[in-house]
Amino acid sequence: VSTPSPMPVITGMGAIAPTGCGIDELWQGVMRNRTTFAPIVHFDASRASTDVAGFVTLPGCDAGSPERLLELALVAIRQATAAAGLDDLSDAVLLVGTTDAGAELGGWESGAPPPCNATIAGMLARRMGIGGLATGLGNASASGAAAIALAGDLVEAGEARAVIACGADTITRTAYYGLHSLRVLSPEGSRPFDARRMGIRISEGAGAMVLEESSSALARGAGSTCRLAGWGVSNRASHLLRSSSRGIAEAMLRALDRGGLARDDVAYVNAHGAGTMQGDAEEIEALRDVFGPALPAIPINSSKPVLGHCQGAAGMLETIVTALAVAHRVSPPTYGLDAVDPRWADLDFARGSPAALRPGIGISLSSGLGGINVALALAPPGT
Amino acid sequence: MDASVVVTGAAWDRSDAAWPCPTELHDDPDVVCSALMRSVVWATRTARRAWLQSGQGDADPARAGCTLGTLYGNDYISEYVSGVLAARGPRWLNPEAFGFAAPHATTAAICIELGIGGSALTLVGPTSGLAAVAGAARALVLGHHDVMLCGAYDWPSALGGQLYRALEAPFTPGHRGAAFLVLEAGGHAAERGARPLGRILGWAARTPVRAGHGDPTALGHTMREAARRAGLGEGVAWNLLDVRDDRLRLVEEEARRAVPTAGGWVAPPERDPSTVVGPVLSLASALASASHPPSGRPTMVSALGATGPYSSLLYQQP
Repeated sequence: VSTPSPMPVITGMGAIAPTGCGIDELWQGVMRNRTTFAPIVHFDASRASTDVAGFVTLPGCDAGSPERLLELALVAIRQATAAAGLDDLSDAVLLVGTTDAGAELGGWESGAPPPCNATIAGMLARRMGIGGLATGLGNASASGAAAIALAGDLVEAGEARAVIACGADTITRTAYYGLHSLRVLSPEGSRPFDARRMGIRISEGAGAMVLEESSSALARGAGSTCRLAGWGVSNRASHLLRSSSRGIAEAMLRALDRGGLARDDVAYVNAHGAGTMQGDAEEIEALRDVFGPALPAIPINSSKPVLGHCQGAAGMLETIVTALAVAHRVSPPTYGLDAVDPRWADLDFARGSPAALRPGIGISLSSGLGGINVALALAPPGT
Repeated sequence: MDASVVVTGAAWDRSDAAWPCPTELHDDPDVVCSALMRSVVWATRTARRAWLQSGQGDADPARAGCTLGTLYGNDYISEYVSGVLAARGPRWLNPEAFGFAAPHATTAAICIELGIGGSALTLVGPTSGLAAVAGAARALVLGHHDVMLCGAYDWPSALGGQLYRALEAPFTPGHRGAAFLVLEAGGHAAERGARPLGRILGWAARTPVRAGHGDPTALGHTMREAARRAGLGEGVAWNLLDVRDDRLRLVEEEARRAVPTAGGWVAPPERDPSTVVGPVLSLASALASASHPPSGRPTMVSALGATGPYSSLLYQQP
């Protein structure tokens, strides 16, 4: 941390994803396409268009365990708070984004509902000794990113010195068959921006980051990976199931505006890039609207071919990737991109190999059902 | 510049209506979708009343946002999916239904209906209603928006009722409740000549580690923090809004003794038993009632939930 700033700094990050456990595993995974996709065995997935999903390794806690959501989040939060060197959590705020309703897990009638969107923040706060506001966020696939945006608000408003933002999700039968009913599960996995893209591959995982008021972090000698330089949220849609390029563009412009950033400052975009026909097209249209003729010079990358779609954790894990990309000044490759959609042949998707980044801001985009869009701007420390 | 946050609209609805998603509808594709949507449609209708009362028909979509709180949310969609998948024989899931599965679907439906295009967050948890009001006020203070719709809704199924009971929250089967406020930057409201129903002064929320559910010391601490953030000097007295959750009432009564500036109880015109909707509904009904404030003092409204959160918010009527 160089100089105090009203924008929060990120002092710690944690991740558990199909790429492995830890930030290094996440980074190496997205750089080298190291991941774990496997057939679903904890419920019958045979009636869907595919039975493959992205899994994490969590010893002692099976994929179908009611405690899995809580355990995933705990792993990520512990990593993040340890990396931040944040020992006293009694005043910290906890925000947890997840899509997990817990309805299929049972146990509610016994008076002990499982970890789910309504209960997980309180459960985690108790386990971790977190004493500030603790709440869940239910913003669909953008839940993890929305947690970061809300963390930005809390720090900027001076209501919290340290916020732990988390996104976590498991693979539930409800979500799996629900997405199958929408015909967005792809047997080939996610192939963002490819002409023959067919949809998503669902995954589980959790990510967490500690965001702190910069002078507070400075005072306790904490280092930072990145600065949250701007954030913007929009909900602009004409239909719950259809994203809107205008909404995505507005979220980006809001993030740039909040951080006092120019479009020229942006050196990298980590797209939502789910690999759906409609969603990818809306996202690229939004990027063209915002960056105009400068867009071909900005590497655009999607982490979903490697991570899968980690649902409520997706926005968090991809923001961590963005932070690492701007810190290392390299964009991970976009894998699974065999034939770029001809409409976007002029764009740089870091296809097949990493792309060097010029110094600048990274933008992480997340979208979810209902028309929610979150844009997060990440700046390397000292900028 | 007027940096205050004022309330310019308030609406609520509560009733013991039949649960909208009976499981026998699973096999009837013609009716299942509309049945599943009933909760969303009802919440949207209530939100629209607050929005129109505030005179926001022409609000700039990009400068208007929405923050809602819920406990059970739209989890009945997951129940529906689970029920269908567990059934014997051929099974068919309505694809429209899954779009409504996330709690955010109700927030999103309201945004689409009312033309709100700014920030939209959906908080989930036992005190998320009051936290949503605080979140909306925060967005205005930071200058991110001019207008924020905020509030809470819940229409739990039988399973949702079990969640409520497990969290030690009062629950009546089939009960539904929703309450919405329209918050506005004071300067923006004044510019368009809107008549404020009240002002939001300050708020605080905590999940004290060592305090259990219903700890008066913890609640007293949250109240004092809200008063401090409101800029109330030492010795400035405020009232307590009686949201009539028996447990909260007892805890507040004890907390009141420990907070010298806590004054008397104020009874709102309407109440709701939910820890999520109840405090917001009491607040909305109090603000909408011109004859409500007996003393002109600021008033504190609080919420608490079984997983440990305490929320307090201080407001004042004109």
